[in-house]
Parts: sequence; structure tokens; C-alpha cells
Amino acid sequence: MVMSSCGGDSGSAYQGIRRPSPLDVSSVSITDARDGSAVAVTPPEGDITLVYFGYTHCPDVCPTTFADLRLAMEDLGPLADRVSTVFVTADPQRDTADVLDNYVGSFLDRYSVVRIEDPARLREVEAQFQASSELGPVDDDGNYDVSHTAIVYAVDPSGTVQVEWPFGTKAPAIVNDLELLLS
Amino acid sequence: MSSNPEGISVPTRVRLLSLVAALALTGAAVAGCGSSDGATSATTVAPEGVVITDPWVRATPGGSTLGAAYMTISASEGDRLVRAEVPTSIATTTEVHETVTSDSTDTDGAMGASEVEGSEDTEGDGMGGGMGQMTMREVSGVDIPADGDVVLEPGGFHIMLIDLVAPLAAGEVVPITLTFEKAGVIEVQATVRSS
Repeated sequence: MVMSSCGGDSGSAYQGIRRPSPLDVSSVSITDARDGSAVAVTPPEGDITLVYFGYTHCPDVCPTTFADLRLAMEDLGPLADRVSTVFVTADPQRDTADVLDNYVGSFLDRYSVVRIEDPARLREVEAQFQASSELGPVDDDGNYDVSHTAIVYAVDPSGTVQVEWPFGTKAPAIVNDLELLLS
Repeated sequence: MSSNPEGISVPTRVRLLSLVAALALTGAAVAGCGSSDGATSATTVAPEGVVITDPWVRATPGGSTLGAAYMTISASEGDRLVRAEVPTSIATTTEVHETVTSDSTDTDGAMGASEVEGSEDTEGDGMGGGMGQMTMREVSGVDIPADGDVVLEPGGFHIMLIDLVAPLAAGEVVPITLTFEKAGVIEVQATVRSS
């Protein structure tokens, strides 16, 4: 419904969500959990950065989204070299740098993994994307779920979120939008 | 936003773990009805009119010990899926879950379980200002209406495999024993694939 305009005019219209007032995330400052290096949320000229908040103990939503991203990168061909994905964990207790690297690396080639231990700081970064997450109750086995905004944000070289793909956005729609952004 | 009717019933937080061993035996005993030709058939039809189509399990992401199984279920007389099990040689615990989208103002887990909805798609859900969170909850069962399919699919109902013994790779087959209120026990062979 929201995306009804995209049906008849393929190739020239975004299939993800575009806000009337796009989010400016140029001030977001985060580091890669593996080596502490700065993560380029704002990509270099000509590139696009994708940002996602999720967690690896996520059997349904996150692997679905990342399987779609993997398909999209395969379908993009050489253009995929200009797209990098940032996975910010909403579950820093369980998602160590190694866990994140192993998980995201099983889907994508070009990525960063971010682990923000301080809850207040994580909230700050989430808020810059108008995202949020919450840890669920711990069960008898010590397991818990994490509620989280499940959106992929595509950031352009001005640090602006140009398009957002909600959960369920399929690879062809992602490819369509990335081709528009990269053209 | 989420169109889940609230308050239909309260999800029961029943752990199925203690039943796994016993049911694994039950499942094995009944396995003949579905598994002999499972490698070539993606559809399982039970005598009671329950039809399971395209059961599949997502290949395990790197380092993960969780899995999710999906399928389409129909029942000509209507039925209710009350339990799903995989052998403990594959995963320690199996539960039926539902992924739901909630408003950020309503994430205390107090929502009623919607057990009648099957394949509501997720169009635009959660996009009201981008604040909608997705979360999971265990459900006590999934109603299969007499007049329509229920699709267990990403973002909706799924069978969650907890504590996988080993990662599942594309091409492998996972036997899943489903228990229905009327149709009883049905075993299906779910193919592992990446998406």
C-alpha cells in the first residue's frame, strides 16, 4: 500500500520507503568491534552504506533479511563492490566481535560489525536512525529474545538515509533501489 | 499497524524439552507414512485431509545454533497444529513461534497471542515512523482453518529449532514431526536451503 506507486513504473521509482524529511546520520560515530577502526556510516563518494540493527540469536527475522541482502549483492554484480553493510548488534552481551564476524560474514563480503556495550550509547545510536531495541525476559534456560526495529537503512555519501527497506523487502526491490542510488 | 486480534488466548510458555525424547520415539514409529518417499516429494497428505507443502529449513548462518522451519499447511476439515519436533540429534528443543511487529509503546509482551492468523504479510508494518519492533513469542498452537492455507513463513509463524547440534547446510533434509489435534502425528521431510 505504502509502496503502491512503484507498480507500473519499474526502474525509475524506489521500492523502499523514502521519508519526506530524510534522516541525517552524518554525525553517527561508531567503531568496528573487530579492530576498533572507525566505521564509515557515511560512505565515500560513489558508495552506499547499509545499516541494520539486529542480533545473531535471531532465527527468523535477521537471517531472512540477510539472505535477501546476500541475494541482492549477488544480483548487483560489480556494483556490489560499492555497497558495504554495517550490522549493529542489539545484543552486545552475547554478540562478541567473533560471533558477529562469523555471522555476518556468512552472508556478505563487505561489512562492518558494531558492538556498543553501553546501553545508553546504543540507544543514542539507534535514536539517530529512529530505531530501537529491547531485551526480552530471560527464560529458565537463560535464553532471551530481543525486540528490534528490523529495517535496512541505505545511507548516501552526504550522510543521508535515502531509502529504508522494512522487513520482507525482497532482493529485486533492494537491487532496484541500489541501482538507482548508485547510478 | 499490526492487525493481530488481541486477547484471543494467552500464549502458554510450555517447554517441550521434556517431551522430546518420548516423542522422538513416537515420531520414528509413525515415520513410515511420510518419510519413505520424502526425498522426492515436497507435499505430504495425511488421511485426515491435512496437506503440508514445501517444508524447508533455513541453512544455518555462521556460528548460529538456531534454526527456523517453514511450510504451508492446509486442512480440509480444519485442524490445529499443537506441536512440532525434530530429532534431538538435530536440535535439543523445538518450539512453535510467531514473529510479530509491535509499536515501541507496546513491547511489554502482554499482547494476546494471535493464533488464527496465518499469512498476513508484513507490508509496511513497523514503518509508522520506523519505530515498530519485531519480536517473537512462543505460541501454544496454530489454527488451520477449513477454508484456507496457513503459511509458516519468515516474519510470521515458524518452527524454531533451538540448540542445533550441528549447522544445517543447504541440501540436507530435516525430519519434522508435526502433531495435529485431529490428524495426529504427521512427519514431513524439510529441505535445508539458504532462502
